[in-house]
Amino acid sequence: MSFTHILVAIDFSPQAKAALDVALREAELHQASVTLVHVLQHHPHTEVTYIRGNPENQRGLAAEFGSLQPLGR
Amino acid sequence: MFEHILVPVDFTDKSAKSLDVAINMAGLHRARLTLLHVIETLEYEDSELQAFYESLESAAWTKLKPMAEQCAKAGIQVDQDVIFGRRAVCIVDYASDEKADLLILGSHRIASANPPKNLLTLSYQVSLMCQCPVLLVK
Repeated sequence: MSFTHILVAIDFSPQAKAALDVALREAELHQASVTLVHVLQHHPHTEVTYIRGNPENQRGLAAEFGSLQPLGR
Repeated sequence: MFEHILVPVDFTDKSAKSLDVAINMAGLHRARLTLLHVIETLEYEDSELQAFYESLESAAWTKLKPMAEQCAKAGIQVDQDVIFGRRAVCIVDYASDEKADLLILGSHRIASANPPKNLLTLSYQVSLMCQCPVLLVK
């Protein structure tokens, strides 16, 4: 039994790179095609942030930028 | 290139399938194979149990023989071993001790639309714990 089509799921991590190296080597030996797939996680909720203080007060706004807080989901 | 492929077998149809793949891989990589059968042991010991283990071991060596012959017929260098203990841990430790660089074992198909709640089967335990690449044959 030889492999004809190798699917490589990648997330751009060092582990994915190592897996890709093995997959390419095996593809060459088996004369198989390779498909790379990266899955983007679907987020059902959008993250919203809010800033406390008066938006017109630029000084206060700048002070708050360093501590953005999630509004919740 | 893989040089030493470990093939844990339990003599089921799944093992036969994984052995076919292992022979093919060993041929392509010019690797040697080790066929391993682990006899799961219980926590306690007694003389009756010991006799039972011995009969299991004897049966295992008998069943390993045709598998080894299948490898040899394909021109693959093959070793065989029978050990006792907890299967998942034994397989992982054996792979590490014997410096296997690929482990091939039979697994099972799961419908992605209806995955079971417990995925801690032997093949998944081994694939999670093993330090070398693992090929699950389904």
